Amino acid sequence: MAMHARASMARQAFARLSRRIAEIEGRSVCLPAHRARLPFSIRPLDAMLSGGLRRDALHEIRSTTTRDSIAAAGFAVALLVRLGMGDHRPFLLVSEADALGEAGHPYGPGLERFGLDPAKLVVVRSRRPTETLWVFEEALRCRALAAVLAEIRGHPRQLDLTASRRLALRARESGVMGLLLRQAGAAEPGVAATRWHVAPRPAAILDDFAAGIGRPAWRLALECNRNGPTGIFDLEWNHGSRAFALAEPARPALPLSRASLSGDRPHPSADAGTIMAFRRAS
Amino acid sequence: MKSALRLAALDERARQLRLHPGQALADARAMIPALETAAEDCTADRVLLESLADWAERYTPLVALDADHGLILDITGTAHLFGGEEALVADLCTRLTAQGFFARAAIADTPGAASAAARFTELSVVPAGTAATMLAPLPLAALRLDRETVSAMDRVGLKRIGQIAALPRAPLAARFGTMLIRRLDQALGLEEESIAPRRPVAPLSAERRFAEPIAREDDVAQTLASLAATLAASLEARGLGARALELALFRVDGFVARTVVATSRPVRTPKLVLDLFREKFAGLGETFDAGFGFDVIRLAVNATAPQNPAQIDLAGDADSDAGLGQLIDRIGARLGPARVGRIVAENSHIPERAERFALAGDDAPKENFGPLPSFDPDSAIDRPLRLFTRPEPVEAIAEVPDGPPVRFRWRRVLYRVARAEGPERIAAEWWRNDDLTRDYFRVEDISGHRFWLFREGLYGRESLAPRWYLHGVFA
Repeated sequence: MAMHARASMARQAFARLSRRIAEIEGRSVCLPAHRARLPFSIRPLDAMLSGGLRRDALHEIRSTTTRDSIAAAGFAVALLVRLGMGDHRPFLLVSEADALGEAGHPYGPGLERFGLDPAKLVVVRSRRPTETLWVFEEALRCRALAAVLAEIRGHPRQLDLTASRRLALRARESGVMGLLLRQAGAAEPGVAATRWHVAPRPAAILDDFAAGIGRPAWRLALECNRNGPTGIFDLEWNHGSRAFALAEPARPALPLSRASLSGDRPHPSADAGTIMAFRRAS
Repeated sequence: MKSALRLAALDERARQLRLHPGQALADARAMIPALETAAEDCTADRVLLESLADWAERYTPLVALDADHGLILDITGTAHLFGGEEALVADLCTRLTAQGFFARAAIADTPGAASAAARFTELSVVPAGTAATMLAPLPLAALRLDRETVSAMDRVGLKRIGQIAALPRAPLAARFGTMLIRRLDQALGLEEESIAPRRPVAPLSAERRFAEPIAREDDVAQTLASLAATLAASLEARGLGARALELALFRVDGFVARTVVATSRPVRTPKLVLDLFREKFAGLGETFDAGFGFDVIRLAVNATAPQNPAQIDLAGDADSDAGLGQLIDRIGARLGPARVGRIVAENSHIPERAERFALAGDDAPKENFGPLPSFDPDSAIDRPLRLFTRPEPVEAIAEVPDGPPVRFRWRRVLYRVARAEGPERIAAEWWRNDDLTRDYFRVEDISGHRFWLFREGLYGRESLAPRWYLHGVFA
């Protein structure tokens, strides 16, 4: 018994010392290999990312317009859900007041349907870019978190190259994944390990019900990848199995059309389409 | 009240010239033609008195306002810190005189006796047990009675406290009211009177006084650290942690600066307390204005909660839960406590009321989001990822009475609906008579944007022109 206790104490002391040495040398904390990357489980995408998204890095996700920002937010939340499957630590979400006003606030029942348990989320609402940046940096240093998602609008002056480098460094030291979500952001060079552009896409068909809205789907463009090539993917999210899948090519969507009641009058408008036949009700 | 201008307060010279408060201004001017007067400003006087009360907290936290421009301090047990009662009174009067006030102070066994001694005698300390002899020759106004009672008793010939102390009580109470007897008993110490302090007294506090006022930020931080260490020892002895801390900095010129920090979990480690205050100051962004320096710094614990001794596991790693709690507290200190929290479920079928933003320090029991009975992981997502706090009005064209929108305009952009699912009918709560039923539709436009729209009011039955709103967006 005493030998077992001594052996386990020795092992713990050894683990502590090796972590300390890694810290002194500036290497990132040694994560077990299978936890060092977040895979998509989609072969071509994982191959491009050399196994998956790096857990100890900063990643940037942007959308071109505010209208499309919800697609980027959905992709980010899907990544958090994937992370949460292997890691039970909570996440921190910091949103700027501008971003919340434009695109709405995260909705508990909606998050839960999507696959993310809202109890695992710590929500911070900041007012200014300086506050957002400070919270982002401090949260990235907290090893009790699995990931931090920061939502900002556009390109504030405070989030310059120096600031991003500092954020990337914090992520590398602590192993906490940093996701920077830009609403209405333009492509610009940065230090993030990967940069994504998300655009919405018609939802996949569910159970052959062509008129129904199926699983969320997006067009993802991997714009910048530090360690590999870039590409464009159409992905859909399955909230039940909590997995990504390649989306089928979209069928051209037909706008809902109804024959107008005034179709029998002369000079119908072009929107009405071609009126084939009519039977009057009375 | 006779309608004439009367003197409300006099300075020392006016008093020497035999003027007294309540005298008519015309009479006073007749006596002294060169009299300078200023209109009485009760509000400003009160503000000044309250700031003096703040300053007086350097002696004791139990400070109350007394009628007629006075303060009452309960200095039980604190006199030895100043070298004795005489020294305390001398220090108080010196500082007040240095600030430009004319002040009289007296220490006695009871608030009543002290108030009388300060106003009507020249004593600074009334020895214990001599209150009765001290009070005997004083006029009845010294008993803090109202003017009608005093003038009523004056008419009967009762002018000194000594006269009424000897009289039988029941007829006095019947004639002049029970307040007279109460005030007499309170002044003599026969009835217990405690003062009502202006601010709640903190259960635990530590302070430091400086003979030489300090002004540098580093010195203040160092003092704060040592005060936190002192408090940590007391807290640990009681098995408590602090949930709210207040730092009071007393400037030499009388101004008091207070900062409050609240935490979601009890803390007592001095380093954590120091971090919280540092974040708070950084968040306030004000420059540190020490004036001529601080001569008293007090750290008080306003609220406590039980806290067990910290468990350290064999490897010596800190508790990771504590790490997240500390982060949340620091964010709350820097941004404000209302900005950090979690999303918790509420029991309501109205969408915007089905969730709530619970602040970090909120201890109320939280409901979890359990799967709703109708939620099936294989079905489509029926609630949006993001919700607008206030549903945004849209102009929509839809088939009446129950059809989904065909086109709608939101924020000046026209969207053509390609697919629509619904309606999901959500009626208002039955006890709210005026709210309308909502029919929610999940719509997708030709580009792939997915929205949650609702029509407010059933066509025909509840409203003739139902309006459309956009409540949320789906990923």
